[in-house]
Amino acid sequence: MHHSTENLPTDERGPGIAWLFHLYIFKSLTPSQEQQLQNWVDESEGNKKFFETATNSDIVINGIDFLNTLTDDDKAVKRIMEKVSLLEEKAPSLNQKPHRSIYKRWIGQAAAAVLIILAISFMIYKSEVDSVSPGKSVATLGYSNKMIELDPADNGIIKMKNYFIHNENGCVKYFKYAWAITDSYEDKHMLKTPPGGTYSIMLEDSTRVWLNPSSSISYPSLFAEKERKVSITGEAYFEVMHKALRDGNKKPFIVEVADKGVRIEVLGTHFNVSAYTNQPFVITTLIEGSVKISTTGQMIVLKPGEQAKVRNNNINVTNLGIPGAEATMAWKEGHFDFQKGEVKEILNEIARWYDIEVVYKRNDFPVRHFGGSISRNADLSVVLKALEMNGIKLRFEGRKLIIEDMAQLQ
Amino acid sequence: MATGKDIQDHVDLFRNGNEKGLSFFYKALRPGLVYFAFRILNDKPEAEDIVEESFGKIWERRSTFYEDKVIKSWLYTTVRNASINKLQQEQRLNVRKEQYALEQEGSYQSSPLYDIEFAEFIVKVHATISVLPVECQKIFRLMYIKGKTVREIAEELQLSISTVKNQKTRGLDILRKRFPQLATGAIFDMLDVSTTIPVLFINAVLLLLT
Repeated sequence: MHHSTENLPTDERGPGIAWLFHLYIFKSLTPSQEQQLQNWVDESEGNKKFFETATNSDIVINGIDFLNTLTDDDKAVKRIMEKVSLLEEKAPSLNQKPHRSIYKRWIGQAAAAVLIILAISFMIYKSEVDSVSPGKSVATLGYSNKMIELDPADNGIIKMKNYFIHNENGCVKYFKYAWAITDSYEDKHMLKTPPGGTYSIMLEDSTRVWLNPSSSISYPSLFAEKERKVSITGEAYFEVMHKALRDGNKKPFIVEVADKGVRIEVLGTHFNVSAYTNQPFVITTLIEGSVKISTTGQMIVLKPGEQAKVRNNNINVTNLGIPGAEATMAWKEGHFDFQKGEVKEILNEIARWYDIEVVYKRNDFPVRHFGGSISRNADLSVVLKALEMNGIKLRFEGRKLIIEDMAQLQ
Repeated sequence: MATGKDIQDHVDLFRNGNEKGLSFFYKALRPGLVYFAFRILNDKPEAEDIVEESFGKIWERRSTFYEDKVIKSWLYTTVRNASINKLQQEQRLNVRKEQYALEQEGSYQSSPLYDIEFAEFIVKVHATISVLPVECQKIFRLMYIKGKTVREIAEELQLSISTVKNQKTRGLDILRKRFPQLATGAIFDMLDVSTTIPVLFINAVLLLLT
């Protein structure tokens, strides 16, 4: 949701927006106030919506009628004071300065810090690299023929008849009311991240899904009675909640990668699916529980630590072990894990996150892996430095990362 | 009428645990806060409870507040969080509520800042209208909120055009008499007095809210 609340007129710079709208209603704006109001309305979509609501006479009349029903409660102030003084007798320290809880996340940032120091000592990149910023929490939510931009700073809510949606700290959460009858809702919603964007969602059944950049998930606002079905593009990490059906059987959760003909059936588990269109495989990595992967010709069941690569209906399984499997979802925790795969995969991930393009000078670079991990909040120059330390020769020009050479590592 | 110094005095009373301070802010901010919570919860008793609890919470921490604006924004934030929590709790209970009648289903109620401004806007319009006698209020609502002409209002209320005009003049006079000290304001001079309400008059509560 784009809005420019910081530009709301404040006391210091003039009357507040509520005041201007109030004058507007009573046709009492001066020409300069009128201009001020007009500018504010034109400033953003959010402001425009505010204007529409504030000039909707039914809403305004309803509000006034509501305020008319409020009665003064003369005893309230005494009641509040008594209640608090009782509390204070028990815990006299309550009315003191607020305490600060101090906690920090060191892991990953420490690694980045070391690399930052290294990077500073080199300073080889031009300002071009510096102008590229890392990805951030941003996504578009599509619902009921509406599209809205989500911003983690904006704790908006959408209320529907049988459920409500709360956008909170980079996660869109669905809450179903207990009275809702699930089978009758086929309302398709979609959450989509742009290049350089990430977001997470908590579906109606409390399943959590994290989206990497340039990814999407389509899902019904409320799941049907017999099964839960979603489809994705790009890359997503799932933590599926176990749900039981009325007959005691497990309620399946199905992830479809429609354009690649892959279907993943899960029964309460943690796993990562990577299905970017520019990558030949659909890669499913299982961290916990079990998943069943099927294509038109084949079907396999994955165990924790295993990774399935599906290409042209063929499934290949490798055992990465739990640490290896966890590396595939380092992005969810805010890191690039360089050991998770082949160099090109990692370069693609970096490109998606910083919204840049990777260009290979030659086609015959060896297939190779390397190690290490770096924070996704790091500046691009730091990431490029880390790549160079891993023996990659590169150049950065006009949002293009040009890979000139790659040393063969033993 | 509350002046800037008045407000600051009440902030000091509030911080030092004086009932007058609490009472001042309770009266000034409660309507907007209850309306704000009601827009989230669609339940008046719950909205009122949450607002009262929030005043309890701020009173526990009163010694840390030095500015009216901070008191206001702290209360709005607390009321909003408590309302959303309540909504989340209720979603697990099998209690069906009448749908929110104020807004279209599915509209995005975005950032708290907009909602606060909106609640205050309604409080201001309400405060202006409330100063008038009931028959005047009807006309002012239709004229200024619904945007109807004198002729349309006369038809709708089955009154003569001159009655509507007289009521309008009467309403404006009432506002002028009620708040004469503002009638000489610079902004007021620029307005066409005969056709607009000198809304700058109703400032007692409003100074606080802007």
